[in-house]
Amino acid sequence: MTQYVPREHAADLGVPIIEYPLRADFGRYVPQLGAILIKPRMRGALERSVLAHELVHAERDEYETGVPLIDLRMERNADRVASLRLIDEDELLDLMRWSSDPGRWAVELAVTADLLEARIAQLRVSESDRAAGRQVS
Amino acid sequence: MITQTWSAFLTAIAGPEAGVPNQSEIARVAGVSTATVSRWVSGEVQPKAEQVIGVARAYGVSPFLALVAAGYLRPGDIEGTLSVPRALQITDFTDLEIAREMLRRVSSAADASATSAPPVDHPAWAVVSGSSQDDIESLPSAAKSDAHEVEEDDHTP
Repeated sequence: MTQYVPREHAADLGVPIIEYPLRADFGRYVPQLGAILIKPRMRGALERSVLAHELVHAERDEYETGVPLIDLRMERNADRVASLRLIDEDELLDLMRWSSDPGRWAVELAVTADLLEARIAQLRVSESDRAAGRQVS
Repeated sequence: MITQTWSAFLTAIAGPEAGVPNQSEIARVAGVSTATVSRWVSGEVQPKAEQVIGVARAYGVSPFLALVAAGYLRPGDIEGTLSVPRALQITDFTDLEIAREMLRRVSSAADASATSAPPVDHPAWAVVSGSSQDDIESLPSAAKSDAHEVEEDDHTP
């Protein structure tokens, strides 16, 4: 499987990535700008996870509606799609066999804990059972 | 007075008003997780020298002072080589001075919110050029604020 590179995806979509000192968020897709703002100097795993998430919003030209249920679904969907793009199932399953530490899986996969959890939630039932009870920290 | 513990140092630079360090703010500026900062504050984990220096620089404090607080240098190693900022000498202030400083910080925070956003050199930015940071951050958007970074050092086999 070809590795998903968020910055290449953004370039393909023509979505600029602008570093901006966001105060409360790691990243934002702003439809009015047609651009993604990201906090400067984030480390690799954090940046690629945030970008992958924001790119889902960019593809859908989404922004928060102020309706909690809709916004929650939108954010969960962005995490779900981003995690599918960033984390190859076979690679994750190999890691699960190699280590019992979910934190190690996240480090090896270069993703954040929240995206790893989103990806695990989409594993086949038998594999999800293996991961059950292991919390990423 | 030079701060003698890393936890006290963090409080002095990032939370003197509350008496405890603002852990999420430190995590953000230092590029580490809040869990890591929490372990620094509790003394459970010793920060790496480069992290100590990074935090100091982020807050505009001499890295030498930070390295003393974190135990990498002894106070005697730097005595006479630099002056200790008053921000790290909280015990030298009277209650009145502390109250005045708190008022000053509240006023500066109000002023800062009205200042222009940092300049961005990008064609897409022309739409909002000259807008304040508050205006930029209030544009309709979809934001990610809940990313949880995993510390590699905590998960090394």
